[in-house]
Amino acid sequence: MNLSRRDLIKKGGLILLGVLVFEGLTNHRRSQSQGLASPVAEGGPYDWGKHYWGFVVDTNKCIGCGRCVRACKLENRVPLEPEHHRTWVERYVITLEGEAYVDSPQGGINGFAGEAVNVKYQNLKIRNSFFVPKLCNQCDNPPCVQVCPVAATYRTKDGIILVDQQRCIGCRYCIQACPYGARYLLPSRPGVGPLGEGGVVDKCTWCYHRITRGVPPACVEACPVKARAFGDLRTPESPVRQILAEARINVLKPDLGTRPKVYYVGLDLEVR
Amino acid sequence: MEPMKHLIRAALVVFLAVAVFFILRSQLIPASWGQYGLYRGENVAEWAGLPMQYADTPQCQACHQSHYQQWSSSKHRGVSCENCHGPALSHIQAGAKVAIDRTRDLCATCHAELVSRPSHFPQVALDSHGGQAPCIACHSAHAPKAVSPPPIPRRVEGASDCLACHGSHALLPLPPSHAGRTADLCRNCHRGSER
Repeated sequence: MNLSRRDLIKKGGLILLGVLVFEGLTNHRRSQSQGLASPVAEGGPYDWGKHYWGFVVDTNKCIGCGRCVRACKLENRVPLEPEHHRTWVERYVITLEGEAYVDSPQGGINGFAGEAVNVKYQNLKIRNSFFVPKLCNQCDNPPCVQVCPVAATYRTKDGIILVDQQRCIGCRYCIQACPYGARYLLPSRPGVGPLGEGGVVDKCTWCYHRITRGVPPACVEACPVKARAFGDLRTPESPVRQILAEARINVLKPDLGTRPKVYYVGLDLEVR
Repeated sequence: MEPMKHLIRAALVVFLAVAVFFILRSQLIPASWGQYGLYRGENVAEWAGLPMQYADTPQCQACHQSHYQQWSSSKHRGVSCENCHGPALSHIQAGAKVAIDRTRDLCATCHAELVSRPSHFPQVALDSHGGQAPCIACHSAHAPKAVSPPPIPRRVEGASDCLACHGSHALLPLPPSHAGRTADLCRNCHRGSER
């Protein structure tokens, strides 16, 4: 039988269509039928559809004690060697001439008291000086999620960016992409990662395991002066919404379009 | 059908390739992929299920009522118990010991005088305050202002002998805890305007 070109295209097209339909159906079936009872899916004890989390940092209140950094390390097993931080405190010292000095000795975990970290500022004519705590901003337009080549990082329905450490291949593209320096590489952690050796990316999760149980993140609980606040952006009575209603707020690097969700009260010009 | 044979073979190869692709895909892609988006849906529960280390401060009240009472109406009521005492969940659940740093260093992390701290925050130049004695010798950690040595009023600051007014049979006798102390010890704890 001689098949004309037209016939071939028609018949081949039908076969292709059949294959595509088949694929579409099987995909659909797989994700629906699994119906995994994730406790953070709809219907579980914590409904992630009902919350959208936000964070406020008040730099006017921060006293640079560093207890938040310490609490985070203990709560989240953040490695001490090599030194990494999910949250850290920076100190800005601005002289009368307008020169700014920034330091963050070990992220501020031991505070900023003591001769060793203060000796370099002894002879400066200081105009003002303050502390700025920083952490992952859980951006609404996250560059870190965008660049991941294996889709190992994602945004949850309640606004938190998480890293699937079983899928992460440790390429560090996201660490580069984050403009805030919020991510780091977990050098080695037995049982974690595709090869079970670590070498995957980690970051602040706003203590996802605490907020889904109705408890604030460890750093917010630790702060003795209420420089950090955490709450639900959807609930007008939440601490975050109450502050947002009264204060003048800013965010870090607004020009990059990342739409961060850590709102700063009293963010100085010099803070990058 | 001769002219069609090569076409049928080609179609078969393509079909086989596509079939192998879909079979591999169904094996390699994790089951919860795509459940909520382009990620493994199970991972959300993995993160949410991690164990906590820090408990909630109100839980300390259940067993440590007197300390909690004292603390909750003191100047330190904004400082959570676990801030100084460390994570307490293993203490609540398994009776692990809770540590506390009793040296000057712990108090210094917040209260050492630093130019970067807000000026209204209570800070003190530790080099010239209290010598080497631990802060808690004079200041109770759970009631730092209420249980601390009263300062020397300005008008009597220059007085050389405190016991002239505060000795036994005197105007303002000393509390029983101060029995036997001599006048040279007073200024070790009681400060005037020099703090």
